Order: sequence, then C-alpha cells, then structure tokens
Amino acid sequence: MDGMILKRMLRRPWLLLVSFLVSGALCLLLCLLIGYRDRQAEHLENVRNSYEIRAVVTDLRGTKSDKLFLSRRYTDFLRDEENGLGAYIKDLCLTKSFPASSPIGNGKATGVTGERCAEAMDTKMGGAWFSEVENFFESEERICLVPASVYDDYAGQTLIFNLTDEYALEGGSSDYPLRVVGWYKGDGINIYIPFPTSQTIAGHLAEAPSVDTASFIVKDNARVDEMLEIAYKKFRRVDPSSMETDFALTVYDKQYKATIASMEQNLRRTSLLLPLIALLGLGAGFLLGLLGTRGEVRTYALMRTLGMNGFGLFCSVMIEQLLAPLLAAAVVGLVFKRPAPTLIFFGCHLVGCALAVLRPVSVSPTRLLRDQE
Amino acid sequence: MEFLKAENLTFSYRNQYQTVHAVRQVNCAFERGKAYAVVGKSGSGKTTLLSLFAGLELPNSGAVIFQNTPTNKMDRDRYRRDHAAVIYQSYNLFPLLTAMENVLYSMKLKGIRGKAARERAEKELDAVGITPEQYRRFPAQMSGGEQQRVAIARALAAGNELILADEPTGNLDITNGDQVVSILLRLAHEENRCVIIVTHDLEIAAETDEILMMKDGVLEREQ
Repeated sequence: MDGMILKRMLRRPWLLLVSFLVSGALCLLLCLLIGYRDRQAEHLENVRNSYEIRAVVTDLRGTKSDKLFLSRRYTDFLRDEENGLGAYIKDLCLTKSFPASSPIGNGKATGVTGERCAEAMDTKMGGAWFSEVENFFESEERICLVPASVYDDYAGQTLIFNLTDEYALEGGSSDYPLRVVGWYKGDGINIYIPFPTSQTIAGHLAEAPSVDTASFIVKDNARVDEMLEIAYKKFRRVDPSSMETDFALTVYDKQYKATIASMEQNLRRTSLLLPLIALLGLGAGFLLGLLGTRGEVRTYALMRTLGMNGFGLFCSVMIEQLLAPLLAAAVVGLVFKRPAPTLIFFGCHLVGCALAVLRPVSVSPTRLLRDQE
Repeated sequence: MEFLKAENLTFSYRNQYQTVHAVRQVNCAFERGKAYAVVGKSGSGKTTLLSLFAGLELPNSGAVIFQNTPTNKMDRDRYRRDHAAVIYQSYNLFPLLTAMENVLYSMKLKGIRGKAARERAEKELDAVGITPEQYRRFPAQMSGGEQQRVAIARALAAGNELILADEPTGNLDITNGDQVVSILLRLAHEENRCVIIVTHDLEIAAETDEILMMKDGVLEREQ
C-alpha cells in the first residue's frame, strides 16, 4: 500500500468518514436483507417440508367420512406405488370397526393401520400405547390392545369377543378369541386390533372385507397437484348436490397453499429489493467517486506530468477511493459472517466508483500547461 | 553533442473556435550544461513548444529527438519520469502533501524510497533554500517563492537532466524570482543539466546562455 495514498486519504477525514459510513450502512442493509431473505426461504422450505396436508376419503357429498364401506379396490389404489397413490402419500390411516361385546364391556373393536388412526394412541396428540408384539399394526395375529385402566386385569389373557359386521347382509356375527398384548392410554370399553386381522375378520363376517375410514398425509407437498391428478382417476371431487353413491377425496390444502403463496410473495418482494440495494451500492460508489475526485483533476494531471502512466493513476485513485468502503464492507462482513453480500456490495461499489473515476483520471497532462496559458 | 533537438516541429490543435497552428516548422537544438530562454508574446506558441519537449504532446509532423531517439518512439510516461521535469508558473504542488512529501513523490515514481529518498529530498530542499522546519508545511502554508522552490526541488530530486520551466517566475516577486532564476542557472552550469525557460521577461532571458524567440509559432531568431 502506497504511503502517499494513505496520507492523502487521512488528510481528507470527512470524505473518509462519509465514505466509510455510507458504504458500511449500505453493506449492512444488504447483509440484513440477504439474511432476511435466507430466513424467509428457510422458513418456506420448513413449511413445505413440515406442513401436513391431510386428505380424507368421504362420501360424494362430503358429509360423511366414516362408515364408508370402502371396498378393497379403493384401499389397493391408495396403497399402489405404481398406479395408485402409494408413492405420494404417507401415514395411510385405514380403520375398520366392529361392535364388540366382551368381558371388558360392550364397545367397539377397531382395526387400525397405525397409531395415528386413533387419538388415544397418537403420541403426537398426547396419546400413548404399548404392545409386547412387535409390528402390532402389521400383524395378522388375533391380538388386541385394551384400555390402560384394565390392562393389568387382562394382560396376556385371551378374551372372547363377539364381533359383528354391520355391513354383512345377513347380520354376520361371531366369537373371536383375541389375546391382550398391550394397552392404549385411557379407559373405556373399546379395543384396537391390527388392521390385517380386522380385514380377515371382516372377510369371515361379510362377503368381502371393507374399510370404514381412510385418510392420509401427502408425502411431498410440492407434488400435491400431481397427486390429485392421479387421485381423481379413482375418486371424485366433492359434489354437495350429488345424489350418487360414490367416494370423494377431500384434500385440506387450502391453508397450505395460501400460506405458501403468501410466503413466496414476500420472498419475491425481498428478492426484488436486493438488486435495488446493489444498485444503490453502485450509485453510492459513483457519487462517492465523484465527491472524492472533485477538484482533484489538477493533481491527477500533475501525477501524469511527473511520469505516472494512465493505468497506474487509475489504480492509485481507485485504491484511494475504495479503501474506506473495503474496510466498511470487511467490518460488516466479519460481524455478520456473510462474505457473499459483502462481496456483492463491494463489487457494485467498485463498478460505480470506476465509472466516476474514469473521467477525471483520463485528464490530459497538458491541461496544466493549457490552464496556465 | 545535441541533447535535445527539434526537427521541422509542427503542431496545431483545435480550440472551441478554430484550429491554432501553435508551432510551425521549428528547428533547434539544446545541449547539457546550458540554460536557454524561449521568449515571445502570449499565444506565440512557447508553452506548446515546451509541452512538445516534455512529451506531453506529440507533434503533427517533425520530431522532438531526445538523445538521438524521437520522443514519439519512446514510452513518454517513462521519458517524463526519468528525463524531463516540468516546472510551472503556478507551482503545481500536491496540496494534500507536505513540502517533503511533494519531493518524495517524484522519487517514489522512479522507485527511490526509504532513507535514501529522504536524504536526497533533504539535500535538494536545502539546495533551493527550504529550511528543515518548512519540510512539513503544506503548499497552502508556504509563500509563492517557497512553493516554486519546492517545485524545483521536486524536479531536481528525480534526477532529471532536462528541466523545462514554464514562466517559473511569473507569480513571484523580484527577490524570489531572482532566486529561482539563479537556482535554474546553477542547475545548468554546475550540475550539467539542460534548462529551458519559457518566459516573456527579457531580463531573465538575458541571463541565460541562449535566447530563442517565438512569434506566431515560428522560431524567428536565434541568438
């Protein structure tokens, strides 16, 4: 670094200070804005990844989501990875309930595909459950979970449950021995059995196994529309005026879409501000360059007369003009640990400054003599 | 041996209103160890001739030949840095640098730095009568005579053999003017440099070894 440049700079302290403060402020603004944009983008990504879009199979009018008597054709479609929705969904929740009378009482035996099918078991909803059999929900054994309040009385015992399928044409009802292998949080008279077991029982009681409720969570929110396109090959859209008997799929994505749209709009606005700030950096570089070289043309001409070449003079003036902004950008960059915005700002500032400096430094060295003449 | 030579030197430039034929077919030669005066009325082309000698302008035709090399075939920035120093009527010191720093600057351009540069600067400032307490003064804190002497010291410190002075006493009183002229003459006679002084003051011209008269861009008479 040329000592003369430093001396010249230090002897114009106001210019140095203004240059430092303006550059620092703009660089800070850019850093904050880029930080804000990054946080917005991160938040958007979080929402995209964590928001659970729930879809429920209902009747065609959309008024009923249980006791659907959904045939295997539909449940297979929901599970099919290749031609159905299997690839697009997660936490598929199918239930099948039977009125049940047992030593516990007259309640319901519900076959479930997972803990999320029943609030009492859903750990996310404050529920809890325990099974001594691994993979309880996939088991085909005749086992059941009873309320925690009676578990100690029946643990390990095989109880006889009289189960009825309400959809069986001829009032299908039969006794089934079910071994108590665990509990779910709460008290009451209902029990939960594995979904495959419920389907086997339903197959015995009625002509064909069926499902009462079906719901799921969309696996990839970004592909919700793609999922819907496939879903509507099998299910219909809700039609409140329809009198037909069919099934519809209700996807609760309005809130998600509104949230995403609003966040994306904010992100776009913030992103639009960035080039504006960069432009301000360029403008500030230009103005500070003009301010710094104002009244210095004779000095530059003199430097040329003394033998400094044009490029050397340009570099020398640029260093003089850019040292304070560089320092300001470095301070901001270090404090915020954000090198990219700092470099962007400095690049813009440099271009602006170069535009302002080009003219005064291209002064002809003969100007000194001409002025005199 | 001819140190600097002008051969059929012609230069014209365009101002706002017309083309000015500032120098026409000038032929002259200069030697080291001598002081020359170029005299003439305002607008006669003296300063333009000086700028051609300094390599600040290139002739339209003809040539300025410095030590057998035409200046248009030289790196003219280097030529000014290493060989030709210009002293102006209005001193033209760097306003933000002290007297010492002004002198050091020309040496820095030649790559002379550090203690050696400082010692040489002190020597040249002493030689033109600038006292050590004036070293740290800024141009605005010095008189015109002092500023002109610092400008001469700057030209000397760079070690250039060709000193081109454009009305060096134009802004000075008689005492300071005489001092400056005697320094320039000393440079020619004692330090074997070639000094060319552009002036319209015939008294100053009379003190030099040779006078060249310019009129309407033509070198009319040589004495």
